[in-house]
Amino acid sequence: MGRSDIRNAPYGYRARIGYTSPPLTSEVFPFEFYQVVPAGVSLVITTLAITVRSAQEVDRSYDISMLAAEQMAEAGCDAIVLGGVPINLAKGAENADAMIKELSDKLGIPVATSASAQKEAFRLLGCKKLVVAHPYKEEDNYRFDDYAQKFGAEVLGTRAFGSNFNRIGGIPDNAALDMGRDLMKAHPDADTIMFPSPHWPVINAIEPLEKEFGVHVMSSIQAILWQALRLAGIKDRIDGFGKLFQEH
Amino acid sequence: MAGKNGAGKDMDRIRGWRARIGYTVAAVTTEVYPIDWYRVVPDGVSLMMITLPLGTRSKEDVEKCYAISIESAHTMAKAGADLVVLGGLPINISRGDGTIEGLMAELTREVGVPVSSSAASQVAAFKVLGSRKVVTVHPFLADQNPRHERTIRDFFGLEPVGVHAGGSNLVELGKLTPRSALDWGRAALQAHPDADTVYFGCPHWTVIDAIQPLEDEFGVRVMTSLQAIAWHSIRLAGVDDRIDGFGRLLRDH
Repeated sequence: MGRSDIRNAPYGYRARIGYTSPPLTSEVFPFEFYQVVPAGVSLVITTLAITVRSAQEVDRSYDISMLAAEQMAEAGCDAIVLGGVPINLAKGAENADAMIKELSDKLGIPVATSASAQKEAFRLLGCKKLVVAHPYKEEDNYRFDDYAQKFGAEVLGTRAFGSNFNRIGGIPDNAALDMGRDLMKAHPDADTIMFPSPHWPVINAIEPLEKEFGVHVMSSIQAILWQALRLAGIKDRIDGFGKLFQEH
Repeated sequence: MAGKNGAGKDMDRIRGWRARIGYTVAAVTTEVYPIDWYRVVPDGVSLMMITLPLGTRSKEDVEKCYAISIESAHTMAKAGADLVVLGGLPINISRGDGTIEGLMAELTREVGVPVSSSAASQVAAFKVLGSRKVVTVHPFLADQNPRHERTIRDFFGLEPVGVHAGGSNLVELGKLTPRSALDWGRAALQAHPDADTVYFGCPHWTVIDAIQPLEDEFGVRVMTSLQAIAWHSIRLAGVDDRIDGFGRLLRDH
């Protein structure tokens, strides 16, 4: 950038998106955020307290989320997404929508959660029969059956990468693509591949899998970013990361 | 950052295939730091962050953040960081014994991966640049000027020749523009032409686009917190690439 054309606008000159990031450490999310969003959209991030996903950590993270949301609003964010489905639903799934409305009314800006963003993405894409590829250990498989039910879909098959929660930033780029392919070969009647968790690399697997198998791919990060952009008034159609960004 | 849709990337690799750098952010939220980080570092170097509950910079706040920083270093090492950098100059020097190198060496032994700090990075940067007379530019109110002068003189052992306060505050940092840093840097150097170095404190406002223009225009060294942290981190992690466009520190050292 030359001396005369130095930018006289902040990074988030179109929109500033607040996001509370559940893992105590955040590595993949900011990277993939900037691969996807248009220029002029910035991320304001707070890390929460999850390392092993204990009930105590989830409760603490819920409380930090509320405080962070207030600071993000004060800092001028245009929309806020509260991350972490377990945290979002910590006060009961039946209370989740009321919490969003109450917080949005209080802060005066749009608020969504990872759970609400994914629910809306499922609805718009028409996802019904899922295969799920997640980064954690097999013992976590049951959680995604539960989420799918809440989102009005059923799970036909699940693959677990096998990582501990605190190591998912070290998963290679091709893992999501390989797991998605395996699942589609085992369950060709699936209409959707779901990649839960926005903290492992999945963004580069979306488009190849949609093209190869003619299915929907719905990943947490894609749903969160799509919902955040739309709530902040950014309606750009974005190519390269699946039909959610292209068509909705 | 990699191109859209990861074009040209090797899919067998992890994000931080050359180095994964852990960093404790001395703020509840962060916005500018990861953007400027990825503009500066080479592909394959990733950033792992933990935000800290630093509010009003009260003594209690700083002490609490120091304790959390140490805990965070352990967390990031367990998560696979190759190096951990503790952010926040006031937090780093809160022990007050002036032995930042000793503290980092002790933490390195305790945590099991190399541990550095914002303060250590900036000490190293001033040293290799050969800085002596420093004018400081910071984005906060002028009531912070004496603290900055003391830090330059007492902690870094350099001569403070002036301070320029931008007049903003922590909450507004993300709204500052690159033009602000350039304008304030010019004003500082015009007011203090005897400075050999302009120092931009705080890595949470956007400064990196002002570095090269100011070095070219005034023939001085420019050292910024983020530039020093990024430079020191990648060198400690064994990444020796010379990087153009963000000052002589990243290009020549």
